[in-house]
Amino acid sequence: MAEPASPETTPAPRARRPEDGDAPIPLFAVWELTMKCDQPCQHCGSRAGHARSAELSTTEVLDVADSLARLGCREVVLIGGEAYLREDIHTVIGRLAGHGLRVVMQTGGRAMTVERARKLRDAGLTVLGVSVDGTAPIHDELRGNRGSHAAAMRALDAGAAAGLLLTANTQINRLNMGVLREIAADIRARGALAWQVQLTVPMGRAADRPEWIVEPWHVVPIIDTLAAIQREAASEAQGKGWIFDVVAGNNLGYYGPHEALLRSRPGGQEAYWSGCRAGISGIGIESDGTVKGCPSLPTAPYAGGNVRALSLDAIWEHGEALRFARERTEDELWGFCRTCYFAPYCRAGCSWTTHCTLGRRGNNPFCYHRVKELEKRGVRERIEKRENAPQRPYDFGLFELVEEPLGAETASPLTGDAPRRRLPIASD
Amino acid sequence: MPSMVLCPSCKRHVFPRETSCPFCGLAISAEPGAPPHALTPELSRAQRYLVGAAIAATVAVAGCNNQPARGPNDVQTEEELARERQKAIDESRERHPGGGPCVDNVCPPYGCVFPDEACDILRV
Repeated sequence: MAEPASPETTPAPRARRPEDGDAPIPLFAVWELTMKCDQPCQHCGSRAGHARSAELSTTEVLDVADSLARLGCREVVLIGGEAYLREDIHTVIGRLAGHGLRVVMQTGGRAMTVERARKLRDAGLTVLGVSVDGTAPIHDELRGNRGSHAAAMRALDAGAAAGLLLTANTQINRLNMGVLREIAADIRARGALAWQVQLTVPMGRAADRPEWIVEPWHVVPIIDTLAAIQREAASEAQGKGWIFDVVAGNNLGYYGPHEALLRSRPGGQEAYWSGCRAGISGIGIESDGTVKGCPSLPTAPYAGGNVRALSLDAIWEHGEALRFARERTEDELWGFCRTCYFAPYCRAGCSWTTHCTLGRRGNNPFCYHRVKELEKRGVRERIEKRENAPQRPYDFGLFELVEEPLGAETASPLTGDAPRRRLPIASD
Repeated sequence: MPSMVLCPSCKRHVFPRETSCPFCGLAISAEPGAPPHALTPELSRAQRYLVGAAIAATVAVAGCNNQPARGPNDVQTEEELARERQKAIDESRERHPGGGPCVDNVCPPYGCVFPDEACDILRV
């Protein structure tokens, strides 16, 4: 690959700095400001739509903003629902920005007009990230909302007109894994600087759509395609400034031949997956004040406390469910991950993905290295749904891992009867 | 966290103590435990590519040993792991005074890296 140009840079807010030491600090927060949403996305992990019955008031939200700044937070990503549907959104952004935090908004963009984008920018918003999950028909199918893709494209245009930095996020699933190049082309054409990609996880409404969830072996062609897109972007951008950055989300990996390419910024220092940072560098806050180590984690097993009952500082320091990534050892690993070469670093990848799929952290079949290792043994794994999700926000069902011979293509993802061996759902 | 290094041939991450890549068999260091000079972060990607290509070409001519010294999924004892970790930490500190490779550049679930930020702040 051609040597990319390195733009002028400053330290990334979320990167741990020498003065931070090793102590847990919520360097970046992802904050669900409201569950109210203007789209009925069929893969929504939080089952957003109506506002929660007891969302934090403006006063409570501002108190949390002050607490985040006091705890050392440097970047806040506002999500929903749709964060822009909160009437006090400009006040909240202003308070966060006033503390010197970088404020980002992640949106589906249905009602993101130029005027709205400008007001958000004036309040202190720096970055607008728009979710784009396919070409128009696929995106609209996933969103359950005709015209949603066109709205997302307009949102990118509005963000650009307002002078915001633009990024895009894509959840990869069976519907869109064949159109990744088309998605990249669409968002690049509208000025997106970076593209974060991650797998759709069977949480919330996505748990009700097991036929949309990719099989573990799909991660290899998906990652290979993303790597090719990144290489082509770097090659095309040589000498023309910023390189479109394909960013592997935390549940896409791990340790394959493209690990450094997809987890490092083009031209920047090499990075690689170093384990779940929930409760170490990251924090998630739900709109009713529930605090988790990561916003994506299912609420029931990972709620560390509520800001209405305890201070954010106390929850961060003492919340039992926030501490798992700080205190866990390799003893919690099971299945393939327990004996994996990368176990000391990886710890089974994304905690959210593994827990929502297999009901417990510590064993992650959605792994490039694992798929290739199993391939050498002539087998592969797939998932079969066993239990439905209970229809609550951030809920999950249960899947079972099934090992089968390579090439068992004729088996149905849900009812196939090819030769296979059931693997334990959880084992020590 | 001890740092890992990239095999210049197959681009897989390996422990710094490896003398040959467990995935492709490439000899990645002349001395056991010595930092493989082709993998230091001071080199650009293009430089690494050239060095890797040169090594790969040499190996191709000399005959590549495809048998890894140790299987990538061989189970290690706790003692071995602890020794390796400490060794890797020591080596990392020698190679990166004041820090190590940026291994904490984990993305939040929503959001990306941006053009005005750098992943060049090293983790202690």
